Amino acid sequence: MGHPYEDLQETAFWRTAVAEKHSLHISGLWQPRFKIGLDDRIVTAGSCFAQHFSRALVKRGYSWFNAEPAPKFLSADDASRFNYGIFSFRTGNIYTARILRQWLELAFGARDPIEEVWEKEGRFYDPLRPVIEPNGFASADEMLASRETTLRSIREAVQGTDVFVFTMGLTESWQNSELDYEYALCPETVAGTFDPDRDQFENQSFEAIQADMAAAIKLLLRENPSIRVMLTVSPVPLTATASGDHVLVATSYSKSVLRAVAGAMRDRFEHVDYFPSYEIITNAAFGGQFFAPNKRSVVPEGVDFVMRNFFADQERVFGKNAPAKKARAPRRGKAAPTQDDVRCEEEMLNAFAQS
Amino acid sequence: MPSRKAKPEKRKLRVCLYGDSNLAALRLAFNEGYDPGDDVEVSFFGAQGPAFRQLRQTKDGVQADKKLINGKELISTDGRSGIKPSDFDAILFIGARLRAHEYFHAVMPGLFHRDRSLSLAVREAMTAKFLSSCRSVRIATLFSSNGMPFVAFAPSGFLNEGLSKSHRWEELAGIEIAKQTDRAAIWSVLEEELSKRGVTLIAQPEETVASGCLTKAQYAVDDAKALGDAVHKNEAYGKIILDHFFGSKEFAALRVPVRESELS
Repeated sequence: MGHPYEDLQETAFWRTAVAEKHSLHISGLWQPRFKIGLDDRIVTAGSCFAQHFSRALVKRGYSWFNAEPAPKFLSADDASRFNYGIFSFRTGNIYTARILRQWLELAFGARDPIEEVWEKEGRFYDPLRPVIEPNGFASADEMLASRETTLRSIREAVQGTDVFVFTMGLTESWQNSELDYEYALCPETVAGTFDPDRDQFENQSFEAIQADMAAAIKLLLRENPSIRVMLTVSPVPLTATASGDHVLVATSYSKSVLRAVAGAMRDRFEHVDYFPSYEIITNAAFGGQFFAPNKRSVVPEGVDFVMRNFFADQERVFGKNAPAKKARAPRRGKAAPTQDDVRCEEEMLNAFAQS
Repeated sequence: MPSRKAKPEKRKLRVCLYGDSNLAALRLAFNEGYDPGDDVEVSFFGAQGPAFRQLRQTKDGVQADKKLINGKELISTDGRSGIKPSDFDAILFIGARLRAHEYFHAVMPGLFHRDRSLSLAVREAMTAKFLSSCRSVRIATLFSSNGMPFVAFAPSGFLNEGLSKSHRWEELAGIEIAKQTDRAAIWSVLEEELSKRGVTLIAQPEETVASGCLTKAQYAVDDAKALGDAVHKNEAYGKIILDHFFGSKEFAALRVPVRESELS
């Protein structure tokens, strides 16, 4: 009778899986729990690294679910400026598990509305997404109506999606202790007024994040029992820390905690998986090659490598994806006839024939 | 014997009516006897349907493609193959691919459904794009900036009442409750954006509007229902648009110098 390590595959051993391989040939990092097909609707949310997911999915022909698309006649540049099409709904970055929970609870009526409005120079800002409109809103009511639009989009996204991808970003957060909610950004950095008595810094613990993430997942499952949740952890280091620690040490703490929570969620919920984009970018085996010279931003090659791993591991485990069954959008080309074109020839001929 | 001072020759105001198949409504009105006054000389210029795209913007006007000139689709009542700002005193663009109903459908639901709202800043950006992406608006802007005294634009009218089934009406739930004030608010944004381009908006007259954002059936072309034509309008509609154009204060201002010259 042999020992438990005897029959393990080569990916279980550092020497064969990592040390003896060129870093770009390290593979099989992910053992996906569920298949993601081209027909599956995929919602993306989370920290800024999640944006890469939506772009890569669209590029590969996957069905990214944009529940709050830019309105007609908004140019691509303006759509981007107003944060349409960045995530599946117009929340902006969702950095923490608590803010995800907060958005879901607001969307599904599990908590009272948050009515605080930040005002700056006659413009109005949403404390839950202060940079969603580049110059704020024209009025407090416009801001609140816009948030209601996003809450509806969240409901549609959650109830209509097959896969919910969430990228966990931060543990450090700012809480409004009077109204009991979490800001997206520290007050006064964009708008609002910082009140040291009211606005409390919290570097969230493993237990707190675990509780928020579990509550968020349960809410997702309550609203859509067949939903599958894929967690990732952003590999992007903190820009700044309010913890008192060195920012490098603070980054290590944050990411370690988030990574641990993601693992715990995967173990706890059968509908939840974890994709190791964090490891692919940050592990020493890759020698920091995917970071830009500022040692923080992830270069496009790094994003490509992450996504190649994602698609390759899906294919390795579940086989090649069959072509999508849903009708794809027609290619741009010759303009289709419009209502004005239909019968217009007769109209003109009739009118001018009578003269 | 002192010679009698010769009366200056009366110069008529030269007006161009420019458009796609929506131009037909204006022509039908003239065919029915519409009279803008004997101080006005009217030319029609345009092309219908797909041929309208063959009217090209040049650096100082509009020129029809050779294919269009050689074919039957070019509408040019005085034989021109192109027009320039100096050719006319005033121009009215009608329809010309500026589809008011598309714009209204994009912004109206947000007025009635709080959870479909669009911020004012977003609507302003949409309006700018809606106008700048229309070639005829760019041409109108060119005419205005090149000195044409009066440039007006009447977008194509709302879709015809009773023919809405062919459209994705479910997406527009609620817009039938739109009131005059709601429409006026939307028109005013368009009006302001066009005026920045030196172009006067001729909004769809209220008396022709039904069900929030449709055109009353009585203003549709005669056989609209039988043919499922949700777009084209009749001579009555054309007459109302012409009344608004020729009755505008901008056009009245053009008439004054001509009358003064007649008196001298």
